[in-house]
Amino acid sequence: MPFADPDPTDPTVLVGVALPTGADATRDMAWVFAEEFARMGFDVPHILRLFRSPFYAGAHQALRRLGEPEIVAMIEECVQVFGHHGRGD
Amino acid sequence: MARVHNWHLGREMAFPYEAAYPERQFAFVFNINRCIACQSCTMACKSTWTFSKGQEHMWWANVETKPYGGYPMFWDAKILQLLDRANPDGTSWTGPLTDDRRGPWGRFSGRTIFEAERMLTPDSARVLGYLPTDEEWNSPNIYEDNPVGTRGVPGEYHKTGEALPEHKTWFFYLARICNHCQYPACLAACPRKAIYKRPEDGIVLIDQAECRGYRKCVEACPYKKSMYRGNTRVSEKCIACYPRVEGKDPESKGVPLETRCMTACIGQIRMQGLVKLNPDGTWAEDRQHPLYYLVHVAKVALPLYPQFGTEPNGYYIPPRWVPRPYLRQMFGPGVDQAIERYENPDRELLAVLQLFRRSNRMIFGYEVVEGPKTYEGTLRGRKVTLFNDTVIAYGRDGKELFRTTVEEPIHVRGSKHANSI
Repeated sequence: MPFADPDPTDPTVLVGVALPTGADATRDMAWVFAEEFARMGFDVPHILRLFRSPFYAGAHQALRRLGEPEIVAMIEECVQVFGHHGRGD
Repeated sequence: MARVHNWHLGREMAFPYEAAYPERQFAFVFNINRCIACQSCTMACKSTWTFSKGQEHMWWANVETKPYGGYPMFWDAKILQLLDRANPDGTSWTGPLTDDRRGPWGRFSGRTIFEAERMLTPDSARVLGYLPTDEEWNSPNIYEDNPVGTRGVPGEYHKTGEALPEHKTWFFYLARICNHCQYPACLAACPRKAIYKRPEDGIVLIDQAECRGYRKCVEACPYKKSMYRGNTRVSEKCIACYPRVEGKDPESKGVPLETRCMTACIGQIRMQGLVKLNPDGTWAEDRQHPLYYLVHVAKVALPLYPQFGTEPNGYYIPPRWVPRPYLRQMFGPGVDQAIERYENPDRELLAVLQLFRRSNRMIFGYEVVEGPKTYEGTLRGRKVTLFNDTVIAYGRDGKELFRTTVEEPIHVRGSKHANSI
């Protein structure tokens, strides 16, 4: 693992390179994570825990940008559709 | 150069050897929408095949953060740049998406890595490529999900993940192994013919006794999945866990098992199998094979960089949130249709997606038994109707491997043993 921040003068490291992106990319990404985990049978608290975890970088980034209320609303809508998995334990 | 038909490109192309196709082909589908980069696949492979001295830099299976990450660094940006120079007039895909298995995504116009003669040096070279530097191999996915440690404190991560370097844009995780290509660039480039494709399953191997470590395969493989080992002075690559595929793993009891990286996947993104081929190298109709269904019927899974020309056997369900131009470059012109279908799955697709990672046994067929309607409503304004269908998986001998339902009950392991396997 690296022990220093990326060096912006290092020509082999792409830092600060802008890529085209839709304004809603973060929102779309959050929806996909919520839907995929709801399809797998996760409930609302489980999915929210993923979004809150800083080590799950994509979801956590979305939570910080969009705010927890919006993320919770997304998760609840997805679980309402896909959350009919019973508990087997 | 011989002429071979590349069905990914919908046309003939140049290749150094005459076409010869296996009976069945090792192939896999990865669902990128579900990958969380836990690196279980990476470590499963590492701990099985590349844990020895001299293999420290080798990650036959890896997961990289796109668009910035890569292993070796910038491998795809570099080969795409070379192909750009080989195609000064640009490249294009023409023609509609069709059901023709000889060209389902239309026709690619442009030079592949086998057709860029004027770019090749020396004259004896057969494939457009480049040799990554040692630095590029050194740190897989550097500066992406690797937390930056405190200076002067080796072996310790930051206590919180917020210290991760963060790009202010979209990203996704791309899991990769050798694609065991139909037209392998490594095989094409080897001057000693030390690389071969097995007739029974299409797995591409390097004969360790024949290899002299010229590294032509390392240079030629556009996916950079052939690697040089300094202490033995020969090259090595992913072997597709062939003892497992053959059913010779002691655990398998003669039944083909999926590879280590597939079976270790906790995100349930992976499925691997052996697909039947026609004499012309296209996939033979095998309607109830899950890989055939995902690639040729549902059309949700697409090859990685088909424009390279190697006809890779790894297929990806593209991430839904990523800007389409980027995805079209990475997966070809089928992207929009694949995402549309994956976003609005029919009953069969929902059932087949449940087959992922329910068993480490290789699936050769499936059947869907219809169940009751369980939901009707909307999601983000889209109409959704769900049925709790049952999907049954069958093995090579036609016997049932397992059955599961779309709304399979979940089991939560108690906290006392949460991380035990």
